[in-house]
Amino acid sequence: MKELSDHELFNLIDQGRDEAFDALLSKHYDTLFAFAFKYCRHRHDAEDIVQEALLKISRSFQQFDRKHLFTTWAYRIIINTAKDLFKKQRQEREKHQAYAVESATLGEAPDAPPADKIWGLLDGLPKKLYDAVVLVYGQGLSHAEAAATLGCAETTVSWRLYAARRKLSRQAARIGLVIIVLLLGGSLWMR
Amino acid sequence: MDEMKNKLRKSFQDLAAFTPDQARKNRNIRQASEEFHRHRQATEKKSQGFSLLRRLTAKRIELLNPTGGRNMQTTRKLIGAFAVAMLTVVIGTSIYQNHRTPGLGLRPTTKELGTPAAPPSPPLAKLLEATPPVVGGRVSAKQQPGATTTPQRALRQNAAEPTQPAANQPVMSAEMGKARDSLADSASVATLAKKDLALPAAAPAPQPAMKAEAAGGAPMAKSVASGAMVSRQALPLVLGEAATPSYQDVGRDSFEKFASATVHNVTSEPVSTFSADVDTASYAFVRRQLQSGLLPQKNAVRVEEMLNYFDYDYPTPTSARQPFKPTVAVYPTPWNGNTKLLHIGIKGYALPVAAKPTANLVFLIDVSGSMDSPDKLPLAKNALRMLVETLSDHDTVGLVVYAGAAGVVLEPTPVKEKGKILAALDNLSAGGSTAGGEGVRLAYGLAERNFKKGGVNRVMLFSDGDFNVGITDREELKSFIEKKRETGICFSVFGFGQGNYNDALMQALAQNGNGTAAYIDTLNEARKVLVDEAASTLFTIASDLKFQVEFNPAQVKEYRLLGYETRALNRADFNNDKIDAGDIGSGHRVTAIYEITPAASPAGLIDDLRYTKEEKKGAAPATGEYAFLKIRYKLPGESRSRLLTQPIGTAQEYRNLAGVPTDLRFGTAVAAFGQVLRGGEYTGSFGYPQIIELANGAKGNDPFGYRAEFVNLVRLAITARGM
Repeated sequence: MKELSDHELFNLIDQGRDEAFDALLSKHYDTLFAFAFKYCRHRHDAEDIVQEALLKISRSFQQFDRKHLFTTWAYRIIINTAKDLFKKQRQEREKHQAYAVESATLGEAPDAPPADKIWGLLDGLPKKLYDAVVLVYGQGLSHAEAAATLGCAETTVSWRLYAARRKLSRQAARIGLVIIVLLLGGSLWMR
Repeated sequence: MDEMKNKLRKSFQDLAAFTPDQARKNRNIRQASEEFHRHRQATEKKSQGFSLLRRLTAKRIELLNPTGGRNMQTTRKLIGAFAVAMLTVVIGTSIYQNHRTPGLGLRPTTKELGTPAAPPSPPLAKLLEATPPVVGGRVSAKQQPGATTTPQRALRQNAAEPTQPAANQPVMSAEMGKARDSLADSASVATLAKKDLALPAAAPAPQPAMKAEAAGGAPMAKSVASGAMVSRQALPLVLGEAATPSYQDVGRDSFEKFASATVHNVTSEPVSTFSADVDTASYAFVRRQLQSGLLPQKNAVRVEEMLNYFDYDYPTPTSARQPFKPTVAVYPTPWNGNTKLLHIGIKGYALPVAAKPTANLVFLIDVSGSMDSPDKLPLAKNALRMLVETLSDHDTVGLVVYAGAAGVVLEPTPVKEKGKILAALDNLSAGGSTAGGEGVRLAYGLAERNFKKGGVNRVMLFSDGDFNVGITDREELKSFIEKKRETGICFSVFGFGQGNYNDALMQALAQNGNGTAAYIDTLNEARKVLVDEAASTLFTIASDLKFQVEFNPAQVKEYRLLGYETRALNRADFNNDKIDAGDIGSGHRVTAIYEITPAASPAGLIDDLRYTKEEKKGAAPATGEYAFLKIRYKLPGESRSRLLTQPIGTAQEYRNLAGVPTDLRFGTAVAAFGQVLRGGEYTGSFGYPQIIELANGAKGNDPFGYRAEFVNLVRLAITARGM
């Protein structure tokens, strides 16, 4: 069976064939999930975000401009949904922790990526820079595509990426410096 | 700086290993598509009246802002055209508005739905078909307030309790597809109910029933109750009321759709043929739904599986050579004074313990993410532990699990090393997607390598039926299992959980694999299926069991088989040994009930023909025989079937219901309940209270309390909500 292009699917959907919408979601689900996962790096949250985002997509698909790329539009919805979720989670932190305990006892597959200091640094980035980094370095979008998702100019994306890299490199270097100082200090003190 | 770019890319790449959970994926997509469908229908309805205007308005704006380069001639033409257009709009709208019946109340009526501007999409077309009777009912109710028929009543109730549908809406999860079905159903139920009421003698006491209805008596007659319930569910849809139902996991279980068996005329179709069915899954699922306060969906109710859930005290045969003895009886129908019930029951030979062959069992366990819920994997593990306890030392158990991939957890191990088996079971945990097809292959491979000649070789699947990786094609999986059946390995299916339960697939697999399908919702049910009835579940005493009943036209005018819709066979299939049918295990029982209309009875749903005078063929004398029962079966390992016959006549008849043995009466109550849950097309005014009365008087010796539980279920059904 040949996979239909997005535009063929759009046409079918507009002709009232609801199953084409199903096909469209199935086609992109894995990509969208991958993006949501990279964005929040937590399996349960990613599943929830995708679920909520798909519902939003279902409700506003009529308004979606068929000239644009479906994924670009969907990424924006995922980013917004994720931000809503984070806000809600901050408010319901306790509840969330209880859930984490429960899922841990059920012996589930690990749902967090290997610990790496880079993630801590990334989380410290301003949101605008973070979004650009995940879209371009995480999801492999071109600067133009990322710009379409974020609703800004292509040059803005390039600038944000540059700013993010600079910040990250400096922070990484600073951590290195702190370690060296500590080591030196430690060895001096040992004497 | 570039180094940082690469580091970021690399770190993100490591995350690609995390793939979505397949069950969750399916659920999310399904939910979103349903939301999309719902949303689209809602917006289409809203904008229908104005789409014409909107389009013209856009044109008008364009016309009023003529861009440069146009000469006066065109402008004048444009203004002329604009005037004509405006006129059309004004006149058109007024005609359009007048066309609508004022005060009809039902906003998007059939007319509106049918406007040529919007070609109805398939679902809408379906809606159109189903709507007229309901709308018509409403109109005629206005004209003649005295007459009360089912649909009108339902509608009025709705008008009287405007909050009701809104309250019901979220519960029924307003899946369009399902609502549409029930809409169509409501129409058919309504017409059937009307027919029931119109026939003067169809129901035992139609007159009082109608009165009670008119007075709004609390315990409504059954057909009325179901009609009201069904149309109430469907109504918000028809009215197009702005209900934004929230997503509910309940009711996403998938069941094969099938229509209730209809009445057959004995002159044109004197023979009825069907395959035995010893599955019980339907009853357990229905019980679970009712216990959570919901009415089960119609397709989840299979009358034969509800009947077969219970143990009936049929006489048991004494030898394995003739593994069963049919019990037949004819007695008056509790729900219809003019028909009789023809009850056929068989109980399989119970193998003595010493004669039990050794078993080679392979447990195929679904450990995908969707099984991660207390009523699924943990329950399955407990059930298996109980089963292992009942096995004897020489039996072997193998363990295959599947999630994203399938793997052998335990090579076939004799039950002597019970500790090893139990430890392997304990270590299972859920997570990942569901490559069920792969698992099925692996399990068969294991069973084949360890094949016990002359013993029991069986693959037992424990799953919620949600296969979504590997061979996901139902047909392919079915044919694989069908092919493997030749090797002598049977396939049994145990269903778990709710919300994602795929009954249709599970049934198909069990039927094709010569196995049984059971649904396990509680530990108690696990004990019933795997311990108390382990022998039935594991040891086959006869295969390809088929029934054929020939009715005597001199005695019987019409007949209807209760249930077995999914098991019907062609007449010629009976004598064809190549045609597969159900298997029966040690001590299993099978019950089938026909509702027959005696030739002399004034009732009957099929009219005589005007032009063709049917000769009573063969002119079989009124020998007092109602029908002739034939049963075909194969003994284990044989490929030629054996035949068993039994005439059913006045000798087996009971004059009144009270004289009928307790167990048969209880079976009748169960059959009535199944039918009423399926919509009660034929049960007239016989409703839940009557079923409770019938069942209560027939509990008999109920050592495990299953019958008492049944009575409670009927009570729950009275207050349960439709989904």
